Amino acid sequence: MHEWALAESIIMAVVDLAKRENAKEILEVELLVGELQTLNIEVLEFALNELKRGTMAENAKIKFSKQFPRFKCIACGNVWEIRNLENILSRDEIESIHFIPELSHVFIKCPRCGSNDFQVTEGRGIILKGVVLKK
Amino acid sequence: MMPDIRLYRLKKTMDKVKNIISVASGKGGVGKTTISTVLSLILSERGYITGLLDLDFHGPSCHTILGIDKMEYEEEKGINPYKAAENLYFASIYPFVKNGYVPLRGMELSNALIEFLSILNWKELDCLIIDMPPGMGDVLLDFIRLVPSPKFLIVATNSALVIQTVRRLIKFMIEGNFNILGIVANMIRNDDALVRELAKEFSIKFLGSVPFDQYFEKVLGNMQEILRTNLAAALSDIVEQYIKLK
Repeated sequence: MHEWALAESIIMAVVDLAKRENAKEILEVELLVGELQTLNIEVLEFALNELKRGTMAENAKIKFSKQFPRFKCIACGNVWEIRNLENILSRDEIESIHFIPELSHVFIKCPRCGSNDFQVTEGRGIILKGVVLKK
Repeated sequence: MMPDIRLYRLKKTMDKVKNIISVASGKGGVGKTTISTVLSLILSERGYITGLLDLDFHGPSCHTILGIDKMEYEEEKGINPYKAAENLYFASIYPFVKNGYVPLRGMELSNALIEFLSILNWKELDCLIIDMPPGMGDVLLDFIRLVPSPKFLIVATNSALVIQTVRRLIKFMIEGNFNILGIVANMIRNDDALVRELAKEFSIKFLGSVPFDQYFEKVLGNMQEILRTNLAAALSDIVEQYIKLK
């Protein structure tokens, strides 16, 4: 689990952004959480709330939206979505993808042609979607 | 455009490293992994807190030289590199993929590199040795974009086939103003002239020759025996003469 590491990155990134924009305060942080990385949102939220203390993001509202992973096979063009990784992967495999989502190419294959050569088109990992600043 | 959050932690974790030596070649099969791994063993044995990072995602193999089969990372707000020996901390994607194949395209390699570098909790290191993959693709390009002030130790063998590829890498590095520590001639049986000439051509340091060591294969996985090989002795001389850690 590396939600704390991600939370630390998020706080550093939004504070840096606010400073570069000469903002007085960060009002809102919007995060898009791709479910391929199987992040524990509760842990992430807890870590963010702890780490934002004493920073420009202290009073920021943190908003989360989730996205299921979607894939496009480069070999055959098939497009598919996975709603529950636990149905097709072992715990260790999910854990590896949790740390490095690209390792999905080691464990996931196109359900139509069996190729590992696919793109993750959505829902790969966590993305900073928006930040609302008070100037 | 919103910033890439991973880069912030990547910078923070790399800031703990005093010296970064990246072992590169451009050509595969010249012994980068052997040189990187043995170099890390020598430095750690000399008392330097050393990291070894295997960035060959398609074919990680430093663990085989170190004799590590079952390896698990300790998780602590990220992952702690594995303590392979006294003063030596090791990171590789091997524990995640074991013996599975890793088919990744360009942007995926880039993302895997950024993700991996940003989750590693390096200790305060005197030196981080990095085993680079062959070629001049995404991993090298992202590495030089993201990692602060690496010094490159170039590895070549005394073969015209190798030299022409290594020449391209050196040109690229000189034109990009990257810091080249020097060039090592590896797997030398009796003649290292081509590598010496290449060093002269670009006015870079010829660090020394490492002999082809038939015995090395037999001691794979045994760190103490590896340090007694002719290969390690030659690398020790190079460390003594040229690797001055801040």
